[in-house]
Amino acid sequence: MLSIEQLDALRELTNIGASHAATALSQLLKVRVNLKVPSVEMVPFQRVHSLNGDPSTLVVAVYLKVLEECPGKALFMFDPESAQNIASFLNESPVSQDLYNDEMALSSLKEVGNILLGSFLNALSRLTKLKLNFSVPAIAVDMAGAILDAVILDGGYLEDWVFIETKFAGNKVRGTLAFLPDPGTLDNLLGALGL
Amino acid sequence: MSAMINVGMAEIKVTLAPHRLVTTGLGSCIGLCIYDPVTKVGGMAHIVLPMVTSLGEGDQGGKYAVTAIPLLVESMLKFGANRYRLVAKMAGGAEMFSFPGQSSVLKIGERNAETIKEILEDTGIPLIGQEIGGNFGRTIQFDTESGDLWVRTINHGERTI
Repeated sequence: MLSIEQLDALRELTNIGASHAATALSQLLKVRVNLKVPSVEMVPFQRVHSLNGDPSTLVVAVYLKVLEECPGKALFMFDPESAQNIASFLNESPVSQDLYNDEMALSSLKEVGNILLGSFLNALSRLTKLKLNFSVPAIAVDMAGAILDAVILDGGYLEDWVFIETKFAGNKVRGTLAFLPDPGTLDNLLGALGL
Repeated sequence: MSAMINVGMAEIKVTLAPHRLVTTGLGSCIGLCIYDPVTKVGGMAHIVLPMVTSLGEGDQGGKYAVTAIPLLVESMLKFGANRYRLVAKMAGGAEMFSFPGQSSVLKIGERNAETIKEILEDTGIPLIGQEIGGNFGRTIQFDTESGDLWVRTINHGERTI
């Protein structure tokens, strides 16, 4: 169990990391990006499936694995309409009606996700002085439930997860940034913060 | 009236016609349906991983293929199913994300499907329909009246097996 002090510290850490991600995104897209208050929650694995609301909701998810001293899973789930707007802005193209088969749009979204998650993770690393590295990003356009189950099972074991998330709000950009620390990572993060 | 019974991650549910068993958004998990066409007893297990991965988790038999299948069969027999008439269908087991060079050891969806097939074979339950693999999620609905398993996807159409 996490103490209130530890939860506050993790929330603050997430908030700073997410602010870096939001800044990177607003520079890239030239729009304002608002952040909601981050949440840090211990989630039984059975509930992970519906963390983003209805598990059948369509999302565009960019996922990467975090390695070294802070292993875990980092995920950005775009709301599909905002994913379409972002891709159309970056590619100076009309809004894609078939995102799933639009290689160009998917590749830009993958890169946007990479920049977002990268800024978040680099901030996390700077604040905690923990070394971290991450995989290349992968992208999927599908049901939120299917994406979340694949993410938590990637590694082949089953745990209840600490789910750290921040929602991005605004006219153009809506989505959820999530970090799921692997077992042990939370201790590393809290240890680095002196808690 | 036919009720929709939701089967969440690691859950096992058994019912009788005319009710339907539903699982929404399967990724690498597998929805395994077992059915007795005569008594119309139908069951579904939402299987998460092939094998038990850590000790002290015996209380949650629905998680793993190795423990979920015997539990599902056992509760179906209690509902009046006949062991020798049981048939199985399954869907799910996708790899939602692909990373270059990822070894097959980590392909959970594929391992789930293989393990389930082996156990069904050992148990003597014929697998009469499957819709597995790929890189897309599935929502499934099992109709205990007809024994049909309806599989829906977002970008890969829908089919009944």
